[in-house]
Amino acid sequence: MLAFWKDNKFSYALLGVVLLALPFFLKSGYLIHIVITTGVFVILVSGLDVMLGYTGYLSLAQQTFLGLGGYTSALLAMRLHLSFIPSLLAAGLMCGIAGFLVGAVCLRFRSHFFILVSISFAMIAEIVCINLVSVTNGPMGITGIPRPVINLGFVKYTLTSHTQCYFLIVVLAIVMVFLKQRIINSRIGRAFKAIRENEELAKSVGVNTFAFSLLAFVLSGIYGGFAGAFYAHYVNYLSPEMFGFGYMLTMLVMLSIGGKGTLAGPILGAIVVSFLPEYLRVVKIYRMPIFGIVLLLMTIYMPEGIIRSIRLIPSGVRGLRVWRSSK
Amino acid sequence: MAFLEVINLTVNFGGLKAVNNVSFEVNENEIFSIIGPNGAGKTTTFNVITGFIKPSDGRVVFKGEDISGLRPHEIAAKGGVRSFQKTSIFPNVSVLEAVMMGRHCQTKSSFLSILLSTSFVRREEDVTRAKCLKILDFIGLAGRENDLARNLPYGELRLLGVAIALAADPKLIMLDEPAAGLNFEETRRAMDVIKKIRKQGITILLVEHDMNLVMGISDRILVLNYGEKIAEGPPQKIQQDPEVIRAYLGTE
Repeated sequence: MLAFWKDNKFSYALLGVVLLALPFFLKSGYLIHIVITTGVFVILVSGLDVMLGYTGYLSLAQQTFLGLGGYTSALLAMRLHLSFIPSLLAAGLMCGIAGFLVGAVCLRFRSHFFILVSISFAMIAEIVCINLVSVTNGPMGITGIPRPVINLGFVKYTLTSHTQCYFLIVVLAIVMVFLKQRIINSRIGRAFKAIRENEELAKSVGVNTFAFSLLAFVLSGIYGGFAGAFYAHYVNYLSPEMFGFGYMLTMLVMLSIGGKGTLAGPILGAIVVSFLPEYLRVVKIYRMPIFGIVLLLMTIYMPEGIIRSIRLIPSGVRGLRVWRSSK
Repeated sequence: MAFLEVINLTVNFGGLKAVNNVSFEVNENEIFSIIGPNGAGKTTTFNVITGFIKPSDGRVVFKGEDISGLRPHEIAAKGGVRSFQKTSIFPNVSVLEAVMMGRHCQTKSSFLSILLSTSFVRREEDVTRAKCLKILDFIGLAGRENDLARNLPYGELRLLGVAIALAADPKLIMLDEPAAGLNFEETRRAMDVIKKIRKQGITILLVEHDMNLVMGISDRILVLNYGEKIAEGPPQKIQQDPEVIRAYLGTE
């Protein structure tokens, strides 16, 4: 059934219709807001997944790219009056370069040392953001960031409403997930997976493991930069909190709940982790404890994430049938 | 000029001389084996030739080019590919994908063309897939392509390791104990595969403990003991060499 769903053009059309109709069915602006932040997380976590899910390196600096991308895009839009798309691309470029520099240092280290070095970069970035008041306005943050302006030369269009921003992030997220799919299903994606699966063997068949791990780092930086840039223009406000470790933890939870090293994992993870706390509001003050317990249970019973667990259902059903007929 | 020349190779681990002033030559399309008791320096020699360890002294010359000190992926790109002593595969992907990972150097699609999914990229993917299916067929794993690599039985895992190395189009394939842990029947299968690989014009360098296999297929054998070369020659000569017998069986 899953294969039918996956290979069927109808399923894509249905998904398209749902995405198009969604904002008109969401009654409150608040719910649309949650959907939009989910979209931001889809891009962010997909970027993290390129690094963690495919090359197997756990970098704890992904939120740095969120912050850096946000600040870059916001400052370019405010000081140089760039419209949304150029400032978004500039933010991506900036984060790509940052990813290259940070990665070139981090990747000299192995296993837990790699993780520690990546955290230290994230902390340095946060401290710089707080203290570089002349550029970032320090802890006060930046206010009045313009809404996304799409400038097509002959027509200039400002996205003011939630619904308009919703469509922008949907398009952005689809493009980024689509490009991720192309990268993953290519020789580059195979090189990433070879590094994750067996770095020594990867080297011995000719994969320049350092260069390809660095490429993965750069890519996850670019994804983070795009997410940050959109988010800055959408909420109109930035503070050094964007560089905070809280975002990193959220992303990690989303990725492990959804399923590492898959295309749909980051998407499902972002949706579940964004919406579950909202739907748990009925239980009032027990909301967060219950959310925690649900996450715990999912980690225990679906250690590979939702996606891989769903994939196991057909073989599970088959196994159950065999078991029954043998009785 | 020999195909592979190892000249005065020395590797020190601290004060220990793992390999001491060893020289040998491998001819093109030969099956050349390195044997010796445990700790003789076989795998260390291997690791130097494949770039995983830098030699303390001496040189490795491959097809007339000095490759000592190059990194493993650079040596692989020149056609020197190895398999590993322990079972070394890509476990969590399909068998076909694992072999396709071995074709990294043979595929050329650039990053941008991959993003655009140009016709070149799509054709290259098709060619790669077809070539890897052929390799699986050659090695005797046809029909296994969609299985998860780590689910293969042990003997087939070893074959998959060789298939991954073959996918990299080696001129020289270096097999580190391909028969380790295999039963009689599986060893015979591995031997057939090695002979078939040679028929493709590939030179084979073997490190092996299984004497039946070594004596059965090698053209020439190098014997190491405590890091030093004690004999070199065709199997018949090695079997009668008093120095070799002493190293393996001990002195009276």
